[in-house]
Amino acid sequence: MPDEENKVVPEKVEDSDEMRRAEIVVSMVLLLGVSIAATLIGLGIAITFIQDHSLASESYKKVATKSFHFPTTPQAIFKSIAHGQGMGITLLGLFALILTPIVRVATSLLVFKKSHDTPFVLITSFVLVVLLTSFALGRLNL
Amino acid sequence: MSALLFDLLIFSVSILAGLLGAVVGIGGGAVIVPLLTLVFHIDIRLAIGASIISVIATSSGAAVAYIRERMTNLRVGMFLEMGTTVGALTGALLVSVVPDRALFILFGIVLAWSGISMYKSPADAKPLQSSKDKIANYLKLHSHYEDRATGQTVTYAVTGTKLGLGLMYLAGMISALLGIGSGALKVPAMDLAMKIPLKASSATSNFMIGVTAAASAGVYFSKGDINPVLTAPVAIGVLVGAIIGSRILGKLNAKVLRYIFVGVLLVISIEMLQRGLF
Repeated sequence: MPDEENKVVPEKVEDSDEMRRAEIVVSMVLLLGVSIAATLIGLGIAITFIQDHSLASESYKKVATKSFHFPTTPQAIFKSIAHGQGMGITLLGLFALILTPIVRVATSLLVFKKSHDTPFVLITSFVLVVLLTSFALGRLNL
Repeated sequence: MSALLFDLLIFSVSILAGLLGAVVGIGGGAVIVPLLTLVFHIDIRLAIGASIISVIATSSGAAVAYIRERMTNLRVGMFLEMGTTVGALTGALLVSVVPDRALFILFGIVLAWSGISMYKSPADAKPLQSSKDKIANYLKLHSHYEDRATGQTVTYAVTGTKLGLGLMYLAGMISALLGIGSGALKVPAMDLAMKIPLKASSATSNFMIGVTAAASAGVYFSKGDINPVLTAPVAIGVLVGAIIGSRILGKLNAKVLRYIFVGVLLVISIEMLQRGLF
């Protein structure tokens, strides 16, 4: 019975303008995000060791522990950067890396919205809300 | 060992882990977490925090190439991300109540499973040509890709969306708990439950793990589990390794490497289990 629910595949969705645009936008966001993040992380950690000789020669067992303190809030990170500290730059890079997939979801939401693909606008919105919730919950320190 | 020397060492090992990971199709985290905990005696939570960041880096770095080759099914990926992100959020919240020992045991089990499923490496079944799955039809999840090995266009229909979504919730949770991409769980879920061809499944899994990792990374970051001195060399090392690995992929005898890697995974798995049990 050839009903609507038993459609034959080749609808070539991926070849539509919408998916083409989504592919290009998604690739660009990911590439840009990773490049910026990797540069900041690499520079940041190098500057950290150059600035802080005592840290560089400290035993790694004292640095790679839970008791080692570093800024974890955006305010504290920007303060560290304002003081020209490599640690702040490293953390900004790590933060940028975490943000990259989130920005990717947000931009694909815009692409779907532009082409009036309502189901996928809802799907990407849902994912975006979950991602933002995870940040909010993290800040609450649950 | 000084922190500087430690970072340089971790950086070099992470390049190797990323390279191996890209070649055999598994994230660097599977090697990095055991290395940091078993060899360097780093707190498992810090090791997981560092690893989750490297997952975002490799996923985003490799996704660009896969999307360009049109292997990634963006629509399926974005649909399943609803499951993986909610799972990841659950996992990230659970991780503070789960004892260290349980994390070691779970890690051991997941590694053993990954090793076994890599060894079996399912043969590509003939792709589905039509689907009765209402969700898949409504969302137009069916797609096609160019198989570079044969030069043919493979057209496939998608089914089992509900089961797939449920399995992704579990995969997302394990990802967040252990700081790994858990591609070894996502790929079979897409391949077996949703009938998506293996190559498209792998590329789509890689696409999703970045977002999945980001959903738990926010929680880890705020908790202070992402130690910059430890995470920086891991993230950049794995990224560099993954980029080199994806370039030389075609030139290597992946089969031999795969068997070696299966062996390595099983040994690490036993070590992790032992750490959790005794």
